[in-house]
Amino acid sequence: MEKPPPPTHHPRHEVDAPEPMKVKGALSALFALLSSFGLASVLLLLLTVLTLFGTLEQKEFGLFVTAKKYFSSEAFIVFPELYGRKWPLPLPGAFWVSALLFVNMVCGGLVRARKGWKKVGVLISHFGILMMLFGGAITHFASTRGAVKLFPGEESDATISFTDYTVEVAELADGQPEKIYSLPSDLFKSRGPNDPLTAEFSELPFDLEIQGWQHNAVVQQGEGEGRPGAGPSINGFYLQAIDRNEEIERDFAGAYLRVVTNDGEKRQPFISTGRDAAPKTVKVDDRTFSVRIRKEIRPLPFMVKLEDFDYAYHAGTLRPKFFKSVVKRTHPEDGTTELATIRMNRPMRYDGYTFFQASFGHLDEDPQKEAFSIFEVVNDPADAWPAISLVVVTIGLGIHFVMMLERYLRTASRRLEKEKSAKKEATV
Amino acid sequence: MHLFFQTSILAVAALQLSSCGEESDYTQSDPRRVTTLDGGGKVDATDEQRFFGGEVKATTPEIAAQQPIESDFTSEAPDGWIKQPTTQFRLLNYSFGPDGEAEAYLSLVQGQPLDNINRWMNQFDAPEITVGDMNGLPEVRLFGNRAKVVEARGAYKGMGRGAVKADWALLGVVGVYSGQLATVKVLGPPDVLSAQRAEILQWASSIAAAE
Repeated sequence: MEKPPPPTHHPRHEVDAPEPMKVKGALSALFALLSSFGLASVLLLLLTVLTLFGTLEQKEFGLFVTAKKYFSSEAFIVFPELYGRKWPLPLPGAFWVSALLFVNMVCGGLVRARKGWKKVGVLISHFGILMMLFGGAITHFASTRGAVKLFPGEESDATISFTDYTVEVAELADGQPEKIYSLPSDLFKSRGPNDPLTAEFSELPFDLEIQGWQHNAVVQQGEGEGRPGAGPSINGFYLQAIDRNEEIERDFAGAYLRVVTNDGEKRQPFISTGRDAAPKTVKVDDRTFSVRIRKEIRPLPFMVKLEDFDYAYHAGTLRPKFFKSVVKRTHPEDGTTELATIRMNRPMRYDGYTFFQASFGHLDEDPQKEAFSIFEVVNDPADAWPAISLVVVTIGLGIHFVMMLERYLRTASRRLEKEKSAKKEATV
Repeated sequence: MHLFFQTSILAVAALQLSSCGEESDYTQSDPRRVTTLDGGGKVDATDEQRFFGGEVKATTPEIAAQQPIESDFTSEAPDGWIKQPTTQFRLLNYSFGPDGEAEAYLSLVQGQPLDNINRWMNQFDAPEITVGDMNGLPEVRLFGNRAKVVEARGAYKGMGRGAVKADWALLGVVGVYSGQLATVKVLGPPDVLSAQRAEILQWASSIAAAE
């Protein structure tokens, strides 16, 4: 008998499937990958590794730089740098790992997961994890951070941003600011030297033209023309761009500003930088204004006074052992006051603001002189989300545990019943 | 589905494009509250006062030569060093190096040599040294007396709260003068300091009280 010809094997990719089928197949494969348990495991492992390296590295390079390196949305690939050397271990940035985990949890933990009353606990805990990740995104994009530095007895009702610069115009009366117009710092975060801005102030008799914005600059004396990174000279000074610091809080923004009065008079431009010792004084229509570039000041809804500051060094060293601050909060509406103690790992949370005991220092950097306390103040709309999401996860896992326990007990009792009746039958 | 993909990609691209570029006009209508951090600042300050607190930071030896700087101390600075205005804590003050980043200054302070050396070590997160270690440090003459030479390299954190210079070097001299601790602190890029190490120590030895 003649053997039938062997079946022709067509590899999958050679099959001429219709176009919509191919797309559907690709989409299904993508969804299967995005919703897979394997991907979730890999991402969670990566987050653990990133957190470990970030924690170790921040001891060497500081919290701000390390947090930016590992957790910012600009960090796509990071290389750990520990004990003085860069490790040849490329890792994905934690922001993008978290974003992918969010997608994975939505696809796998909610959409693809089996639904029904039996799975309600698991679904609740998945929802809790999603809430935690989403809260992280809100914190990343919407929270503001600033500092408050206080000597004992000193008080403050505002924080100053670590990194965000703004242009500020203040109307002066007897040399003191009466009204302050502060442009939003978001206007300057990505601005470059070739992005001019005209700021209009609806209550002021002039506009402000802002040109040549530099994120880190220094004023130099002489002629800048022709030098790389240098702006034009005005009255013998020019603005020289310099490289940004790794710790961008050390940067000093600068720009060329010009007042244009409402009747069209264009005044001579002037230079302003974040490191200026004094603002530029501008007089228009018998009104006096100060104009300056500075780090953004954000008013607090309450006053904080440093009542007491206590610190100690390890014996025989200048290494801090502990430091704590006792602060008094005063509410401007009714004048009521409350005392609170802030320690290194015990922040004060109040009215949407969290005060962390960040560090301390001494006048003139001299340990013999008076000490001051520095707080990092975070205003985070999603401040409570991690705690709430943990509660949600706990409730979900609790429900799941109780349901599994109940199922186990039911099965066990059924088995017991069966064994009993089998025993009875055997006895009979 | 194909059409859906194309439309999605176009929509994302359009969104990306619309987010490119910076606003060129902005209207600010509401003032913010005046806070305790809002000092008035000097009114009618000159450019010199605004930029340099009244004193012009010299960027070239020619500018420095035009502005005689008062100091109670003299020294023989190496070529290319630029004399800078003195302050309460910088009784002699110089900048040097290709970008003028390196700084060298003399201070007179209260305290013990070991405490001061370990304060510098802490600024570099370097291990603190003991009296025995200090006794073994190399010596030069400062104000005619024996003084210890201290060196460190690494991330320098002595520039104020949170500020760090990633790779920085210190060449310091600690001695005594007139019952006070005399310190010469030279900070800057490691290659600049190592290239001028001998000149720096020679400069430290040349420091003397003005007649």
